[in-house]
Amino acid sequence: MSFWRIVLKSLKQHRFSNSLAAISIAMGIALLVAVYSFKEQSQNTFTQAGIGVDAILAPKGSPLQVVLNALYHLEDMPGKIKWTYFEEVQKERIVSQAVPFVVGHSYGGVRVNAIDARFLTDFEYMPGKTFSFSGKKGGKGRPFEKSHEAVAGWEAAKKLNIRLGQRFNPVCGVQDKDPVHKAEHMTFVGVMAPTGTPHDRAIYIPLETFYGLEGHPRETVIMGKQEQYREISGAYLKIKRIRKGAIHPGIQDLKFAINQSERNQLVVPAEVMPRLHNIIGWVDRVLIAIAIMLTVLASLFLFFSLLQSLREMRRDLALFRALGATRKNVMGLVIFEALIISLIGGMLGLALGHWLISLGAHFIKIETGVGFTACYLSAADWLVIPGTAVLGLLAGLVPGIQAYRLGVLKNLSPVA
Amino acid sequence: MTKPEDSQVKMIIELESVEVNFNAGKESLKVLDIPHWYVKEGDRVAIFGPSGSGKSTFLNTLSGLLPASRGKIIVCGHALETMSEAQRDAFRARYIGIIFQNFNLLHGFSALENVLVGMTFSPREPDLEEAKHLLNEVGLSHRLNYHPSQLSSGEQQRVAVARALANRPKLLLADEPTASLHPVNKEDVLRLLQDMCDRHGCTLVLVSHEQEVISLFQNTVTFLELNRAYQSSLRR
Repeated sequence: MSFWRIVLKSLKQHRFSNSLAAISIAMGIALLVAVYSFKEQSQNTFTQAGIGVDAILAPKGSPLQVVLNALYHLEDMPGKIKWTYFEEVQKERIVSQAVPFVVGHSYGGVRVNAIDARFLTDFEYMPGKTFSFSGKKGGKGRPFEKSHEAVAGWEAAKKLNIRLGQRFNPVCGVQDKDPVHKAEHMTFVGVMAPTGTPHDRAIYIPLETFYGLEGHPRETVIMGKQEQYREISGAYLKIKRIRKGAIHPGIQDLKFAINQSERNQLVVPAEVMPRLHNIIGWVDRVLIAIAIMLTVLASLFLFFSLLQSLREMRRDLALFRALGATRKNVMGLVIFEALIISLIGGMLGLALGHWLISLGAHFIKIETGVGFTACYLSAADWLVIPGTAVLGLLAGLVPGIQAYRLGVLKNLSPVA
Repeated sequence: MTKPEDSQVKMIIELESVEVNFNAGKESLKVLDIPHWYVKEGDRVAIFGPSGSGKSTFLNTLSGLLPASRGKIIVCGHALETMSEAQRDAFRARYIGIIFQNFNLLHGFSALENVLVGMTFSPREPDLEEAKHLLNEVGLSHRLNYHPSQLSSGEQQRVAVARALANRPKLLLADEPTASLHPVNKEDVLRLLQDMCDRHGCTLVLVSHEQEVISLFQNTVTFLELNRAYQSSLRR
């Protein structure tokens, strides 16, 4: 019988308390893993520097709402801006590119944005990267060229199982019960290769097509024909760069100037998103503190459970010593037992944590449209196994020392 | 016994001026005081003495579980008084088999596993076949997977005998091995012990307070003669 077999036997002997200890560790770890994963994934989602938009020309309203709508396809745009104003801004010397768009349509729960065709061909969503339809990169088809053509972002296509040539009728609105443009049959001609940005989560149609959609009021139809009456939801702006790729400082003057207007504002995502994180950051911190407390409590439970087991094992350990086991052997037995329980708890916690993420991601997707994945490995995932090993060693240390100091004769047969 | 002059006779136990003292508060209580004692290899020695006379302490000293306060203790050729505790543990695992009064079997382990545990800490690899063979020798081949709670007291002591021999010891120390047995089983277990020692070529030192147990041995020692500390305590 090997040393390990004895450890396993001992674990089996106290299986009830050991299982409880492992489960309680697993619960703490699961919460920690899930909270960290959501925290990191949300940070990655909402602070992507490479999303490619330096500023958003938008109607007056909450800047956060503008960013969430224009970049993350959440919420609604607070209003419209005049095309003529957009053209003025586009001519500003520090604006290198301006891509107008109109939001407010959807299909199958995915936002349908009408956008300038240059977005699909010239817009850099990351430095040096434009959207691709190449099969090698995971895309298919081509950008839209005609009025009733549409392309889907990679995630949107995956979610709705979109095929090239498939036709659809856009919904006039973003709610389930909004009316459908039944007479308008749009055809998917392309699926964009994955970019890992929120751009993957939308469907895009030509900007001009929006104004002529059947069912839109007469004024909207006129907007399509006469630019002086035209309105858009907003525009993505690229600002010229100065040395070392820094954004032109003139953006602040431009922002100030635009914000003076009654109806318009310039929103800089890089300024808005940290504010959002400051608001929700404390929730993360509280949840992490709770998860850490839970894990520490679970380790204390393991500690007391081991002490209790040790009380029951005194005679057995003394007997091992009488049979030739050294003090280190019996100490090792207790510590390895703690280590195994905590590692089992850690691994269970990892699995449970990722299950919680997949469960939470499903509901978050339904409620907010933000996609989280259970496959994401956060910093916590990498620390779980070494972390639980350290916790196990710490929890087993005192009982291990007690086992080391155990008096053999005192715990064996009575003196004759 | 005194040390034989014949140098051909190999001693397995050699004690000289051995004392074991226990701390009783501020005072030191002498429990063992043995001027000299020798046991030849292969002997079967039974030590008789009443309860509380220090017999178990004596066996624990011989096994290295309890270090002597002073004196020279050579067991199986090793001077125990010069060894560290870890060395005495290794010595015990290699040379000593112990049988306890109350069997001291591991309750979560089957009879076979109990015997295997007896091999675990010895320098040899645990051998399943040998463990089965030992249990077969003590007449328990049909109880290999029984746990102690499923065995009678006689059977439990047989498992304890098999376990004590699992590390192929040179010296078997039996501490009141029949005290917890039904009178019917006592003689059986003692005969088994002697028989197993014959078969496995090990020396047996047994302590008991039961006269009928001692009467089954030719080489007997009364603890009163052996232990001067016990003599003094009686005088007091």
